[in-house]
Order: sequence, then C-alpha cells, then structure tokens
Amino acid sequence: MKNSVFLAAIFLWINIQELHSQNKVTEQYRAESAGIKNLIWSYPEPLFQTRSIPDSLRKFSKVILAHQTELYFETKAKYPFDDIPNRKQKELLFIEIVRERVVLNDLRAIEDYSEITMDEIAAVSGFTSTKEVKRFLGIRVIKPSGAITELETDDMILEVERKGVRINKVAVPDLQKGDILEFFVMSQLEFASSAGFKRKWEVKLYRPAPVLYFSFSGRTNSNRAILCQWLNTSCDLMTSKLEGEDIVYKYNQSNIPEYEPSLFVNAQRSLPMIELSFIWGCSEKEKKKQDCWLKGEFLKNPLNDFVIKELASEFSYRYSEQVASHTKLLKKYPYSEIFRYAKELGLDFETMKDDEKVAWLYYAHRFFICLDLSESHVSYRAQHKLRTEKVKEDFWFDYGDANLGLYSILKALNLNPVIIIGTNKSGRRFKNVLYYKNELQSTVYIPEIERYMCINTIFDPPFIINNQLERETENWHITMNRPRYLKNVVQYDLGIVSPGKPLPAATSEENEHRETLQLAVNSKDSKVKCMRLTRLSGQFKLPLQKKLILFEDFYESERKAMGFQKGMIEASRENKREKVTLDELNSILQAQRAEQEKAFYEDAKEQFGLEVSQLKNFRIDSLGVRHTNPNMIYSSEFELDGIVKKAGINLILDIGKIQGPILEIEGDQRNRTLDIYRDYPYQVNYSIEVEIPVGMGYRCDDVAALNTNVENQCGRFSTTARIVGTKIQITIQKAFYRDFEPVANWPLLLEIIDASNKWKSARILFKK
Amino acid sequence: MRKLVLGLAILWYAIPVLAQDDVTKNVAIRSSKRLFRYEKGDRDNPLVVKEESRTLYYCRNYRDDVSVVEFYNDVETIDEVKILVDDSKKHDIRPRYDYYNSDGIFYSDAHVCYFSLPLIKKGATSEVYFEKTTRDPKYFTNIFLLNSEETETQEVKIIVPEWVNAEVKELNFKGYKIRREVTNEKGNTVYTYTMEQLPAMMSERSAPGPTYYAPHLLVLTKTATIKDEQLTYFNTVKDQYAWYRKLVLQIGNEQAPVKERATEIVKGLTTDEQKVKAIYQWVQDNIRYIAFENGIAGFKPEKAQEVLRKKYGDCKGMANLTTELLRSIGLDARLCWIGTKHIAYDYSTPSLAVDNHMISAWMNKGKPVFLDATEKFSGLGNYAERIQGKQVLIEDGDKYLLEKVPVATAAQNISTESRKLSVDGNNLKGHVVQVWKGESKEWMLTNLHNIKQDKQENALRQYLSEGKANFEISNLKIINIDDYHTDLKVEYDLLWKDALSTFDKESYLDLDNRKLLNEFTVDTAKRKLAYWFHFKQNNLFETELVLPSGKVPAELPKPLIIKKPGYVLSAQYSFNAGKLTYRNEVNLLDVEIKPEYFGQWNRDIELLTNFYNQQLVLSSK
Repeated sequence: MKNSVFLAAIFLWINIQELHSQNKVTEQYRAESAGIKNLIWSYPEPLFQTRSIPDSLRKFSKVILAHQTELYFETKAKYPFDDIPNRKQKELLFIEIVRERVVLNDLRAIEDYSEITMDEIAAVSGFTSTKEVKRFLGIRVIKPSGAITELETDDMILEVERKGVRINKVAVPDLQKGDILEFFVMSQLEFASSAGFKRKWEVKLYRPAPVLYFSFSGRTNSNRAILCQWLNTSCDLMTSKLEGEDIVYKYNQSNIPEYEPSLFVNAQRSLPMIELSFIWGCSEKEKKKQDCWLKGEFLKNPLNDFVIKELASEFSYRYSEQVASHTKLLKKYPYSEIFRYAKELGLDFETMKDDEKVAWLYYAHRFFICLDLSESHVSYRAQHKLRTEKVKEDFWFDYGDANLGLYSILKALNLNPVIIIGTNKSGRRFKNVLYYKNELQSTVYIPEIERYMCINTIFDPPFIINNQLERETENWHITMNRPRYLKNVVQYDLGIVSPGKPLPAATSEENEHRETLQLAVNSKDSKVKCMRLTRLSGQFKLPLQKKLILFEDFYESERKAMGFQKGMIEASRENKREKVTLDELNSILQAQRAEQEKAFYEDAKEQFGLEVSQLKNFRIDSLGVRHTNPNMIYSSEFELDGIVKKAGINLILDIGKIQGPILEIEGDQRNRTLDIYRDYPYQVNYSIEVEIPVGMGYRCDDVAALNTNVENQCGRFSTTARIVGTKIQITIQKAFYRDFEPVANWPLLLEIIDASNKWKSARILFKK
Repeated sequence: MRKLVLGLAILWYAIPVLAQDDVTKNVAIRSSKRLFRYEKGDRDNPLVVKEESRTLYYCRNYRDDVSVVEFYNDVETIDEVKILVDDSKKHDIRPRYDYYNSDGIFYSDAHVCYFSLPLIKKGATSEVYFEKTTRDPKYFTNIFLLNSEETETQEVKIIVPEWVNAEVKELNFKGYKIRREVTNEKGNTVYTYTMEQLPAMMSERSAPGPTYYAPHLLVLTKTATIKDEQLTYFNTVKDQYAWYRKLVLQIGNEQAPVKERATEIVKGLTTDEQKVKAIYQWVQDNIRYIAFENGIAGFKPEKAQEVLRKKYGDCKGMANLTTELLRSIGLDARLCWIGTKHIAYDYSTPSLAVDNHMISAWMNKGKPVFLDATEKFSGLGNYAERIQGKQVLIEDGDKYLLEKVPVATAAQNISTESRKLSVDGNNLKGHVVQVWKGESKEWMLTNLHNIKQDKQENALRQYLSEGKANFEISNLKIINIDDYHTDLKVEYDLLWKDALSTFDKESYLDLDNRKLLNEFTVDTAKRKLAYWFHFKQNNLFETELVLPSGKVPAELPKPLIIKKPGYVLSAQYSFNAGKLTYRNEVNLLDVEIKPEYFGQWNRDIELLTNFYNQQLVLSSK
C-alpha cells in the first residue's frame, strides 16, 4: 500500500486539474495524464524493479513479472466539492490503479501489446460497468540495456465525448522481442451516494501468462462496509484492519501459473477470484432500526441470506403493483380477449383440471401477446418480416420479471404457485451470490399438479423447468401474501421465503437429437440420396425452431389449436396501428419461405458436414411448441456428396462421416485440471437404413466391424449394424449423462469422445 | 498510404468459393441524381468540388428499412442532409455522425454519417438529399455508378467551368445502359451520364477490386485558373510526382540516428547485397506495421527517426525508414509509390486513386530491387503477388522513373510434402518432410508466429494432422522458423493409424489425406466476378509406400493430367518393385480464374475430385 501522502497527491492532482479550463478538454486530459504518469512512475515500488525471469519460464510467450492493483475509495467530501450548494447527496470517488510489468518473449506477445483498444484497456479494471469511468494510461518499454521508452500522447488516439476524453486506441512504441513492457491503467469513477449504495469490484487471480508476483491492496473510507468474497480459492491470506479512518486490506501471491482457456469451464465455479462489495454503512443507532451493514465492517465471505430477503422484498413490491394493475387488466387487454374467447369456446375454468387450465391460459396468452396480428400491441413495425425469433422478444413484455408475471396469473386463478429461486448453473455457487440481479434464476412450481413452469421463449411449451436451475440443490421458495390494499402499491413485505428442495436434474433422454436416415448410393456420381427425419427434444429445439419455423406456420398452427377463427390476413387487416395489404403480406411470406428453404439447406450441411444438393420435400412435421406434442420434428430429402469412394470396381461408403463434424480433443486439452461443466446432458442418436445397390450388381458381405460399444458412468457411444435383406440397418447412440463431471471423470468422457471420433473412419464395402 | 490494409492471407484451399448472398431486391432506388460542380473556394482551398445527391428509395414488396451511409473525412464535409419519409418531413430520423473504425486501420480520419431510412409500406418511397464539399480536387478522384441497391434511373452530372481543365474517363461501361452527353452551358462543360436499370453493386470474396469491374468515372483534375493564377493539380504524372516529392522534402528525416542504427546493423558485412538484406530484415523484424490514414498524413511518410524510435509505422513510414537506412550507408535507395493489385489503374491516369502503397527500392547497378518491409516474412527478391507486375513510380530527384515490379512464377512459392511410408498392419508409418518457399512460406510463418511460442509446436501438429487423432506425429522438427530468408522446413515421424480398411483379404487405402482443391468448384449460379487466389502456387505432394511382401495393388487409378494456361493439376500412382508411389501436383500458374473459365475449371476440379475419391485396393498375390 502506498502511503497516504501518495494517495493525497493523486487526489489533489485530479482535483486541481478539474478546477481549471473546461473548454480544452483534450489538453486538460493530456496535462492530467502527464501528472499522473509522473506520480506513478516515480513512486519507488520494489515489486517493479524485477527484470529477469527464471529459465523455466522462458518458453512462455510472455511472463508477468509483477502485477499490482490498488484501490482507493474515498468520499470527495474532503475536497472542494463540498461547496456546491443544495447538495443532498455526496459524490463518491473510486480510484483504481492497475500496474503490470510483463516480459515479452515472442512476436505473438509483441502483437498482443502492439495496438491496445479501449475495450482492452477497460478490461484491466475490476469494475464491471465502464460508462462513467475516466481512465488514464501509462506505458513504458524497458529494453534489455535498461533504456526506457515511454508512450507519448501522440501514440494515443483520443476521442472527445460529451462526458470527457476517451482513449480509443494506443499504439505502443519501441516494442521488440525480449523487452519488458510496464503499464498502468488508472480508472476513476464518480457517482452519487445513497443509502442503497452498493458497488461491486473484482480481481481475477488467473492470467493468460505466468505471474511471478501478484499484489492487491485497498483502502476505503470507514463510512463504508465491505463484503469480501473469495471464489474458488482460500481467503487465509487476506488481512484487514482499521488505520485511522480507513479500512485497509491486502493480498499477495507468488507464482500464479498460466491459465489457458479451455472447453467446458465454468469460470465462476472453477477459477480463483476476489470480489469486493462496497456498501453504504450505517451507524449502531441506525442498525437497531433497520437491517444494514455497520460502518467500517469488513466481512469475509459473509452469509448471504440477505440476498433472498432483498429479492423477496422486490418481488413483493412488483407483485403488489401487478395485482393492482391486474384488477384493471383482468377486465381488459389482454385478458378480456382471452376470457371472451374462452367463453366463445365454451370453456369453463371451474370444471377444467388445473393443468389443462394453466396450459390453455399459457397458450392463449402467448397467442394474444405475440402472434395475433390484429392486436395493435403486436408491433407490426418491429416484426414486419414476421421473423419468429424476433417475435419472441416481445413475449411477456408486460413484466419486469417474466416468471413473476406468470406467478401472478397462476395466483389469480386460485392456484398456489411457488417461485423457486436458485443460481444460474453456468454462473457462481449460491454461497457466492451477493447480487440477485443477473446472478439468480427463477422458475415457477405448482405443487397441486406437481408441475414446473418457466417463461423463456415463444417456442417453449408450458410445464418446463428453467434449464439453468436443473440439478440445483440449494434453492429457495418464495410465495406472496395477497396485498393488503391496492391504492398504495408499495408493499415490500408480502414475500414469504422458505428453503427449497433439490430440483430435478435433466436426463440425456430429455435432450435428444435423433436422426432417422434412409440412404441410397448412386454409383454413377458417387452421391448418396438421403431421406431425413429429425426429431429434437429439450434444449436441442430452440436453435432450429428459430431457424426453420415460419411465423405463418406458427400462427396457423396455434390459431387452429386455440380454435380462433381469424386467419393471418384477416387478423393483420384489423391491426389498428399498422395496416398491411394482402399483396404486401404475400410478399413477406414469399420471402420468408425462400429463406426457410435456405435454412433447411444450411441445417443439412451443418449437421453432416458434407455438400448437400437437390433439396426437396422439406417440411416441419411438428413445431414442438405444445406440451402435448413437445418434440420438434422436420423432414427433407437431398443428396449428399463426398461420402462414397470408388475402390477399383467396388464402392466404399464412409458411413462414419454421417456423424458430421464432431468434437475432437487434442493436444494440451487432453490434460485437464478443471471440472467439466456442459450446458446440459444430451444424446444424439441415429437410426440409419442403407440400401445396398443390389440393382447395380453390388453386395455387402459383412458389417460386423461397425459394431462398437463404449459405456461408462459418464456416457456411452455404441453402434450396431446388421444386414437385413438388401438393407444395412445401423444405429449410433452417443450420450453424455450429466451436465457436470468432476475432473477425475475427464478420462471417462474422453473415452466416449474418442470412440465417436474413431468411428468416423467406419466404412462399408460394396463389392461387385 | 491511404487505403492499404495488410490483410492476413488465408490458406487458399480452405476458402470456400462463396459469392455474396443475393442482394435484397425488396428496396430499390427509383431515381438517383448526383451533381458535381467545381467552384471557387477560399485562399486555403481555392478550388473545391460541391456535390449534391438526391436518392429516391422505393419499396417493392414489403415494408423495410434501408441503411443510409455517407462517408466524409478531413478533406470532405457533409454540409446538409435532408430526409423525406413518404413525402413527409415529419419523422424522428436524426442522422448520426461517428468515427469510422475499420479493421486493420489503426487511425483514420474517416467519419460516417448514417441512419436507418424506413419505407413504410409496399410502394412507398423515401428520399435522401446530401450536400458535400471536397475541399481539394486532388481528392476528387472516382465516381462509382452502382449503388448498394438496384437503381432504376440515375443521372450523374459533372459541371466543369471553363477555367478548370479536367478530364472525365469512363471505365467499365460495357454491358451497362449508360448514355453520355457533353454540352456547353454558359461556358461550362457539362458531362451528363444517364443510365437505367443498374444492378446493385457486387461484392464477392477473393475478387478483384471494384475498379476492375464496376462502371465508374475517373475524374482527372488537371489545372485551374483563378484570379489569373494557374493552379496545377495532376496534369501529368510529373505533377503527381512533384506533389509527392514536395511531401517527401517536408518529411524532416534526421541522418544521425538513422546512420547509427544502419551502421550497427551492417557491422561486419562486406557486400552491398549483404547489407541490403540485413537492413531489409531488420526493418521487417523490428518495425511493426500499423496503418494510419488521415488527411495529408495519409500521403506524407513519417520521419525515419520517429519510425525508428517508435518501432512501428505504416507502409510509408516503413518505406521511408528502409530507404533512409540504406542511404545512410551510401547505398542508392529510393522511395516508390505503387498501386497494389486491388487497383486497376496505372500512372497513365495521374490521380491519387492510382496508388495505395509505398515501398523502397535499392538501385543495384541501376536496376531496382524492391523492398516491401510490410511483407514481414518475405525474403529479398521475393515479391508479393499483390505488387507483382504493377507499375511503380520511383523517386529520382526532381525526375521520376516508371518501372514494373517483376512477375514471379509459381515456382517462387513451392510447397512440397514428401512421405516415405511402410505398412504396419492397418497402419502406415514412416517419415515426412515438408518444405515451404516464397509466399507459401510467408503464409506459414505469419500464422506460426501468431501463436504463442510454447504452443507453436502443438498448433503445427494440429495443422499437419488436420486435427485427426489417428495421424500421430512424433519427433517433429521445425527448421528455420526464425530465419525466413531461407526455406521453412518441417520433418516428423508419422504413425497413421487405421489408414487401411481391411475386408477379408483385401485392404483399401486412401493415400492422400490432403486432397488439394478437392471439390473446389465455383458456384456459377451465384458468382459473377473473377476468383483471385492470394498467390500463385506450386504444390507437390508425394508418397512412397513400401508394400508388405505378398501384397500388390490391384488395378491402379488412371493417371490424371490437366494442363491449362492458368493451372496444372495432376495425380498419379505407379508401382515398381514392391514400392507404390503417389504424386499429386497442384500448380496455380495464374491467380485469376476468369468467369468465362469457371465452367472449364469446374469440370477439371470434378475430374480431380473423382480421382481423389478412388481408393487403392491392395490384394494378396
């Protein structure tokens, strides 16, 4: 930690500069920048005297000799800004100085630092938000001789914006192999203080190069409380103490190994990092009145039960608002339409089973909100091309949190739903969650019918669980009491929180990609005729639904299912906001159909990794958007090229290639130290029938070599093949059973992946 | 130099022959009017060019938005923008003005004015009007006549006052309905071009630059007489050179630091060629290419001592430093201006549009040896395809020289792979040697040096094995990775697992896992422009396989030999004394496949692909 004289010098420098010229912002910025550079470079920091690296590290592209991050968080009340009249909120100032010294051993390292962009400069900072940050940058190159070249302002491209000067790009001068590059990025943030003040900052303890020495220290005014979290590492080395009015904290580490990005990594659950949260601190007196953090508190890995409480409180607020508005909404748009249609159709909610009722309302809601073009709220302008993937963005647009909206409707139907809250499985563990927004996921559960529900995309059927919560053991249930009054909607105490039960884990069967193929070889042009039927379930569906489903088909299918009379044309004519003529609508649909044909081509090419031609008879057999018919099914016919070879008078069919491009794990990636996180468990199955070209004089004697079976606790790869009459029947089954495997199971996963790759060379010989 | 982007070459056989997607035909331009007028300016800019353009967009089928983009820079200003949506000024469109960032350009003065223009229903029109000023007519060079949308009618008018001497050249008009009329109105010469039914501007990958195929006007502003004073712009190439020369004389190179560095680089070397080579290599090794494009700085080289200090520069800065280093040790070196192959023009039409690059030349006994240090891994005497055959303007005091960069044959870029293998069960094993020269080598080195040094070997293994786990490489040696003035070579032992498929007594073998140009056909339904490979190539792939005793190849595939003016494709097997030999040559003698030869090319590629698709059958004696 630098002493407070240095800190004061930094503050003083910035503030003196701010008092001067407002017009020549660039000149001022340059002057400020020069002053800060002088202060930082002249500070005798022993860490930054090192120039050599051990021989064992010379092989690396670059080596970080020293990294130092310093964080200052002080109120500006001590400085001249106190004079501003009528100032109700204090402005706060954060200063972060990141300084690093790197040895550049090869041309790639030179290239990495040759031109530095604004985003790269911002990425150095531990603050996630970059909008209100003012940054200063210093770079110097130290030659093996000891000579130093410094970045000059001419090497920077500066852009003047409304808020000040922004560094757009930097070209680093005098960089050569073997040089040491040293840089600092000083980030300065100003914002208003309030009782709810909370600001997150993090530092990653993994780097794309070996680090000899890493240091982090901070100093914060004791008006704040600090919550400190250590993710995926121990916190034994952290110390904190009060020094005068400040909280002071430090961390040092030597010899951090290089981190190379690899597959299936969940950084939040596997890689070490420190996160600090700066929070408004209350007095002892205030603490007695309300739940708050005491001034000067420094809590390591604090219990985070407050997160759920805060969330419940916010849900309560929004729920009470919604209920108030529902009293109006239930009488008019969009519910009036829903109930009017229900009445027209003779539906009696009182006598319907709960799951039927829920499903019907879900579908009706989806139809009215997203698909019914007669409704002026379905913004025709935004979807003039009727692209279903765009439409999905509008689904449930009424609600800040879609699942809370769903909860409200279910509750209005006198069901007793529960909102389940847990962590995003691709995010951090629950114990590390301090900010509920973006870090927590929700799904709805209806105990009476034992069904989960989740609002995600327009294509989802009801009764699915939020995929991000599958397998979550630590979760919470939130239910809402009915609001006590409706006029004043601000009610924070309606939520009741209770611990949840482990949520079900998806199985590989639930996420299946199944291909049923009929192949026939044409010996003349070595092409293979292919009749394809594809069935997708679970998580496999969405990308293809977005690509292949036409709005027109979706509309028609749902219209019929819902018993609505208005066809697309009639409906669109009734749209009060934007009229569309029949002619124009036909033009849109025609263009969409042409795009759909291209999408079918592309899908076949991507799936098989082969040239595809002569596509015909392509259609979607099932949209997969209803719980009664949840799988997406589509079919097509085409020719595949590059899979048949001539071998003298015989033919060889490279049947292994039918698997298409598949993952291969090579080189360093085979050695793994981190646990394996996949998006979801899944299986890919093929059922293939190959016609033996008997009519052309060929026969097939034996396919026994195509049989294989590798199965272990993580998954399986098995194939079967047999000759039945003039056909060869082949099955391929590949499954990965879980979305998480400990690193110890990596060899077992490799067995499956390798077996699948080996089978890519499987061949069938047709002899003449 | 403005506009130069040093693009990273991509492995040519990995490039799919793609054409641009069908240009959307939903929005068209019903009418476009562009008026260019020379006007008197102020003392700093005595002659300016005013442009007014009015574009009426039309919605053919269904409501849509069209992106309107207009560029400007330090020399050009946008003076006015007017927008009408469905004949109405009532709309919320506010043009946005922003910096224009382009990949590969570190800094440019390019700005962009842009907005999204709605066409609110089928049959609707929206109109955009721009007024622009070009403050220096040197920068008023070409007017492209195709727009990003199909255009029903267009009129382009250029008004040249009698006190301005300008020439308008019409290029690539063939195949388009363009009428030209030259009239005299009040002493002004008015060039009017009217045209109908213009297609949208084409843009296809690996294609020639637009000056080769797009109809356009090249405007040559020669002289102007203002207040009895004659201003000379580019009347002849001599004037263009004089302007360049003036900029060169303003550079302000300092001898001392440059000489000190040069002396250090050539220490101990005796011949001129050794010294040139050492200096050229030093600049390639130590000066990073960073592109700048702004105003006059887009044409004026950075000081040599500054480039030396910063260790980076654009092509102008690198050429200037190379030249100054050579001169400082008494060698005759010159600055050179050149248009890369992307540009169709030469100096017969003096204009800033002619060139986009600078290099250096060492005058060896009066003959220029060109040095382009932006080609980082190119050896002395090796010229990149992009400058070969191009006219080059060479500095010669107050005069200039016009020469051409020599054209190399494909032999410059030889790439060979030789395998000596034997059969071991269903596996093949043996030794492989691969050598890359010229631009093939440069491509390999560029990619290898872009990888961290501790990952290079692994990356090379993956490249050589094409990611196939059964292609096991051991004892890999990389020779000359840091000495790119000689050939790059790799050697390794190979265990190619399961290369043979055995059915009963017969084994089937595909010896060629490279299959250069396999299925590399051109989609003639989509592609309209010529296809340009990055460089000429001479690829030789040879395998010598010792068969186990008792095994012989059944009938060998018939040899394939295709010889065409632009390429040679051959593949053949032979068997002699237990040794099977495979030889495949893919020689691209010319980088261009013209559209009229696409059919022939596709037929030849099909023959090659069919050859590749034949398996060898090994049977027992």
